[in-house]
Amino acid sequence: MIRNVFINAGSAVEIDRHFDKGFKALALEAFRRLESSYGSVEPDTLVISSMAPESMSEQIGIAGVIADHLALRRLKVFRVEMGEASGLAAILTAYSLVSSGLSKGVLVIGVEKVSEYPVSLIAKVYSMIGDSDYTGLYGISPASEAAILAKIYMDRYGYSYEDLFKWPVLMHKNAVKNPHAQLRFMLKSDSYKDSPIISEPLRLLDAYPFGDGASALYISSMPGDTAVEISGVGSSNDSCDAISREDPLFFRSVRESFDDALRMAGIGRDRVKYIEIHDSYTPYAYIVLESLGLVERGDAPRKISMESSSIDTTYVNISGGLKARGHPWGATGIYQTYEVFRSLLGEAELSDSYGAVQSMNGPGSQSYSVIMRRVR
Amino acid sequence: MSAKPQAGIMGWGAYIPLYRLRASEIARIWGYDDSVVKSLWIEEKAVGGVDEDTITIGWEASRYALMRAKIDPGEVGAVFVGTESKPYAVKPSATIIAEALGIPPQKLASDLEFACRAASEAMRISVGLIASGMIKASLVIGADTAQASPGDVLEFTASSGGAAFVIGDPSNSVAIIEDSYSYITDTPDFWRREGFPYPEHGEAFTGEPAYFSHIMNAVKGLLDKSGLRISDFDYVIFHQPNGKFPLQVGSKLGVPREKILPGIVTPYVGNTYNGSALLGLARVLDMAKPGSRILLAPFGSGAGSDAFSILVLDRIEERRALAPTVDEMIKRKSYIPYGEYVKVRRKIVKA
Amino acid sequence: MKDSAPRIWRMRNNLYRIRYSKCKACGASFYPARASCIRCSSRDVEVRVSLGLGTLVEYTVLYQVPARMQDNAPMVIGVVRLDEGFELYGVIVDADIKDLRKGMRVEAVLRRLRVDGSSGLITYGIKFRPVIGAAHGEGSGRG
Ligand SMILES: [Zn+2]
Repeated sequence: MIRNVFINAGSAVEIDRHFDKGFKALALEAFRRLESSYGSVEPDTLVISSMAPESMSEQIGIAGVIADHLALRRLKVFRVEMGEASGLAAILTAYSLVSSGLSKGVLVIGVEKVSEYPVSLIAKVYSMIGDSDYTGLYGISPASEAAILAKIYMDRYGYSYEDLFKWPVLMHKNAVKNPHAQLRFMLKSDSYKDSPIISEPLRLLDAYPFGDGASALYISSMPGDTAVEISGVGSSNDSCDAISREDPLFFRSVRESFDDALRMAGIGRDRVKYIEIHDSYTPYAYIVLESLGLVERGDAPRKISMESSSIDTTYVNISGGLKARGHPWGATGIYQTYEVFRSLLGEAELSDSYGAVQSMNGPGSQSYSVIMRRVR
Repeated sequence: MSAKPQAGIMGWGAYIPLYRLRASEIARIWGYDDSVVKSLWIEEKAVGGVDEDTITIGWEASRYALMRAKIDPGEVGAVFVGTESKPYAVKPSATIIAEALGIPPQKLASDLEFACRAASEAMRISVGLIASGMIKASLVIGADTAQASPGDVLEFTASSGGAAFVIGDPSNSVAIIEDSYSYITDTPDFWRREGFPYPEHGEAFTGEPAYFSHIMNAVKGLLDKSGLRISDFDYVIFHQPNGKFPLQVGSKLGVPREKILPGIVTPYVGNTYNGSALLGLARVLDMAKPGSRILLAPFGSGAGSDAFSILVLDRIEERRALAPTVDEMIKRKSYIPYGEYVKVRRKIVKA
Repeated sequence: MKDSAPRIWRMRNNLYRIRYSKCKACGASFYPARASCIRCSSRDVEVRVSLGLGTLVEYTVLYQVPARMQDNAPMVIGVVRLDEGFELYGVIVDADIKDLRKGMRVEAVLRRLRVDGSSGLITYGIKFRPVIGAAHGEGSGRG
């Protein structure tokens, strides 16, 4: 018997360079905040999503260490790692544990220490999200791949760099209102002029900032007093690199995972009124929106509303996105899900509609989607 | 002349890195008067890029040599790398180059060191191996990323580059190695101690008792042995630590300038050490008409010289266009300032 | 951590040449080589070695280079379309940034990929540079 799965509670720690906190302290802080907003929880399962604790914190078996630090016992303990999509992969894991009946209450904590080392070392670790034997070893970094896709995008659809820079401006504007966002300041439409180039044409302001964070969710089979139901989940994969695909500007796995989640929820994409997407680099925001089928191919930069942060009737990245909320790697999917959860509970406008989260590792190399709605 | 040619040059290839440092730039940095540059006849030198070394340079030259030799890498029974700038002190460069070229394990492979003439000796070794029937073809590589202590007069010329030759069956060769002769003594004109990055040298002592004496003895030995005279040669190529020395040794041997100039590359690319005379040979093979006879006399400090008599065959015409010429590579260049040179040649000590 | 000798040894065939897959069912070529076709899923694929000649179709100049690549900064990362009909990402060397243009002919060359400190291993692999000599980039008979 398949059980319904609910998100009962969530929390997020401000994303920042937490030089004074290790992953244990961050995870504990997320857990405390969850309990202080909801009351104490009694999970029988702990799922930790974290991308690179081996490289950044010299830690293997991070979930067991966190379980011990939180003094939680008699737990099924897992760590889920799928690169920068680890967070949403962890949600799918928690979903399947609860829906199968194997777990009744799953505490999911996404936690990542990113700012432990100089930028070049962080960039090196982040370069390991692709096929290391192909791209990583040669220094072909995710930023350079995003830059190449940006140039192909601009070339094919006739956009200038300035046209694309809309996105960072919008994300910074949104992040100002998000209490746990890392970059809570506005950008001007020409701010890029003072921003160093990381991989031409992309500048530092086109990339997510490096920051640490932790975010927690309590997922269970009991709806409780107020709850958001996970109505659909989906996942798919593609080549690690984008250039060997028939069309590098269409992230097939993003579409497939979203379609699967919609089908499971039994709705059309028009019912999704709010989505958090994976915009690690400016061009990916547009390619993802188009791959999701929310806007025609090549139209995203034109159609995104700077006033309402929406495409048609769907709000996009109210949080500020990876670009400005931040992207603490394995924790990001948990932050995204928490943000949609919080809005579905808090925003009257969204009370009768669906929210969604899209996450991916690399340029749509592996993709995950979650669709949810408020049920109480 | 010996009775019967026993080996030939089947293919030749050269490689000169893209980057150039002007001699005037070195003079400006270290406070030399331009007259010093003039006295050496050095205009500019080739500088290997940050990701280039003897192995990558040797690979490039070898690839071109194999293209011109038109043989399967499987037929190469020996790979010799003559170099004094081995990327690894222990671990052969030859194995890496051979593997990357697809030369199978059933072969000889080693790095030879004799200052600037190790590759020249490898040519003589190869002639012996082929004549004996031990192997069918040998790949001889002379390549260096020559070191020079910053500010030393050597820095004007020490450069990066190389040449490679497939030595093999004379009946499928572009030129015949008719005869050869070596002359070697213990002469400490130039040396580099184990673990130290830069060589030292005896300044004027590198001239008369070293370069001139050894080359002249090798050439005279070859002439005596073969019965040939200087006038039998159309081209004469000497080791060229600078532009002036080969002309001077030529004049001592009674070689007209115009027979030496075609084989002179050092003023334009610097002294590539093991590639030095061999790049000159590659350039001459790029232009020599069938029937031309070439006198080649490399020199290595320490010290020794080999003299070769090489006769160009008709087949050379059809092989020339199969790979880029030395002149194409001399013309392909990008100037860098001294600061970039010290960075890419790893002269800056970093954490 | 030190670079692994077994890893570099194991990878040498893939580092020193461009090995790609050719699908015998649908004819597609793709890189890196895989066990089945990324277009039609046929298992009937074979590994081939490219001759290493191709065309630069897109590129970026990377300034934020990962650790251990700093000496190479800025790095030119290109998309190269090999003459055998597949595309890959490759590091482009020996090209002045202002001379880079789409459509330029490039060829595969052996270069240092990275160096493990002053005592560890040097890893060699394929990068691309503009072909030397106009006449030498057009044919397909060299590699
Ligand atoms: Zn196929």
